Amino acid sequence: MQKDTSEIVKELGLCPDFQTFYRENEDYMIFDDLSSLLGQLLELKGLKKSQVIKNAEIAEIYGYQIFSGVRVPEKKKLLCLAVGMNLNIEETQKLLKCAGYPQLYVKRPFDSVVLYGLCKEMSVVQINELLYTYGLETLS
Amino acid sequence: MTREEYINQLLSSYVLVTLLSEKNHCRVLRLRNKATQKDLVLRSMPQYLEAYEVLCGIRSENLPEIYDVFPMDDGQIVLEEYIDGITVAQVMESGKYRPRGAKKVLAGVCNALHILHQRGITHRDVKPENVMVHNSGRVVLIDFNASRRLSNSTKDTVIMGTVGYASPEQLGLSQSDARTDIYAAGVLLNVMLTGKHPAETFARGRMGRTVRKCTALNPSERYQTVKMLADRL
Amino acid sequence: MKKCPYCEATIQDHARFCLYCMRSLNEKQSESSLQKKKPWWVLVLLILVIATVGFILGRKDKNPSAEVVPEQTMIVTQPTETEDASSDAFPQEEIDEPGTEGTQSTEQTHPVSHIPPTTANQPEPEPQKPTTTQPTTTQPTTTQPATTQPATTQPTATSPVDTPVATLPQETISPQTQEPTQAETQPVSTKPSQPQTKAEYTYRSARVGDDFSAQYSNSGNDIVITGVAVPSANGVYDIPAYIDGQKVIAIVANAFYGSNATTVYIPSTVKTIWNYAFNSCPLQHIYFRGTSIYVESKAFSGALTIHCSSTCNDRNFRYYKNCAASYGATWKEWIG
Repeated sequence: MQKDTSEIVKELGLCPDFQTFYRENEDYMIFDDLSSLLGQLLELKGLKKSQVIKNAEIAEIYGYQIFSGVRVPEKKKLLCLAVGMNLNIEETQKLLKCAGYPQLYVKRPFDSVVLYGLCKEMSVVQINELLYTYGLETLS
Repeated sequence: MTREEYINQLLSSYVLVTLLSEKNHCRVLRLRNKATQKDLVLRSMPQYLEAYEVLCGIRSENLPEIYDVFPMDDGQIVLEEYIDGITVAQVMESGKYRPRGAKKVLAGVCNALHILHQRGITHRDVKPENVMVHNSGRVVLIDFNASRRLSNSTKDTVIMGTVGYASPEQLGLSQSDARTDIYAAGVLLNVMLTGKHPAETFARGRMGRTVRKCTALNPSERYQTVKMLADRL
Repeated sequence: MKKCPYCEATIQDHARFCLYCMRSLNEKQSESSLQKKKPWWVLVLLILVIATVGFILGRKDKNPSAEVVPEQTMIVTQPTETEDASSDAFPQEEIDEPGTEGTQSTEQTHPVSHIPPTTANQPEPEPQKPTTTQPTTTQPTTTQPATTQPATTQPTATSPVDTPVATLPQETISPQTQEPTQAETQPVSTKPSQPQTKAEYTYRSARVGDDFSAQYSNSGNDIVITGVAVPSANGVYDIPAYIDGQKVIAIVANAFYGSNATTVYIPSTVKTIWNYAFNSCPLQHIYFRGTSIYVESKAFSGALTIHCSSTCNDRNFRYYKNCAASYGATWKEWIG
């Protein structure tokens, strides 16, 4: 279910009050809740939490807590999850934005390595090796 | 051989999973054996620490198993068990501990300290960030970088510890010994139950009294051995 | 350089650990933990329980059920006990139950599996039979959720004993779920709440002489129409702008429910028509005398065709999903 953002913005001006506007466009709203977005992505990709957490190389309990919304992860752990879920660049940026972190900026060395890794569908371990070789901080 | 050379050599049969931390020349890596796919932790430190050497043969539920220690030209390399879990500090992010849980954690810490003290080693850096809880519930005390062998000298040569957890003697007033660790354990217990340092608020009831006894300024007023503290729990 | 006895790899002379097969080369000593008080305490209790039960059996006549039950309870150990180290030092989470988090309900029957605790170092059998003398001092606290939760989330604390770990997921999200459970089907959009009522009130309409039941709104002396006191003969309802000097500002839900209204005149003073106000009315014409009004989408639900006067600028009338057939009619009328 998608509606063009510009169309929604137009309605914002037309509707006499916000209640009507929101009622009508509720279905098109984006989740601002990290755990729901993660759940949505899991479903989309047909993945299981346990597998994602394992791929992300983060502690099991930490991973489950993130998925259930108990805790908001650090940016790097979130990137681990993104890699673990095999997200593409767009989805990863969306995830970061949802969690309130700045998006990956290709001109920053660390970010560029991560973006490269996402592009090439590398694993967390592989990306970390690359980061380490360049003397950068690793994920997780 | 320098530490770097050794690490590079190791990376031929191991894969770097992640760089766990890197501070003042101490680097901690998590490596995975390509063949067995099991993880271990490599600590690279610029100075020689006896603690690791002593713990090398010990296998305990509350301490990470030290696989091997290699002295190098510029320091020491330690290979130890990788604990898959989160630190108590991270657990505390989502709330305080209930008395029962705090007791369990502290029991694990006491056990670990007991083993260390038996062999004449003080940890000197007991704090939530250095206590890990494994998925299975296993409580492990990690990071012996601040540890020292108990000696007969009157004063520690290096003043160290973590703010809040360092007992008065650690900050230079007198010799630090086993009771130093008990002080830190008391602070840890208080933080687990209340989220705050005992200087701000004491935990309530029986636990509070235990904390008080652990953190008495005068070391002779504290629990004298870890076993006594453990029995109290 | 020497060879590893297990994998034949070449390792350093003084190595105590083979890096290649990851096996220790020396005998390692396992340390036992500090003496704990609890185990013997449990044992004593257990003996007491067995003794008591045996005593009871000896006294009673041979009763098959009495024999069977003690045995069952004796062998009950609680792997899911929250006394277990795994759940106390650590919150428990369910494994891969797609959709269970989505439900976010605080129901106690939340289906949850838990990470099997491997180091249950304190086996404490807790017979569930009420007649045992087991002091269940631990009972109230075992139902408490895992320790890492702040103590504030009380409502979900009283879960049944057999699902102690199940409380955790609910606990962790209960601060957020408090609202949904209380507010039921309240949509997220910030709807103005229904006005509270103060007193009953009837009045004769100026035009066609019908009566309406009306009540005070909660925002002062304004009136809201809550119902029809005297039904109109011809189905024409002219809602007055003022009743006894008080402004009529809204028509509440079910005001005209079941009435025979076919034509309704809405005064300019009415600013809101709530959902289901004209529920199931055979409405055909609505005339808005005013120029601005807020009509909820389900205000005319059940109506088949509605013609709207063009003086009303509630452009969103076209969004009202329940006025299915009226879409076309009002839309046309709207434009025209």
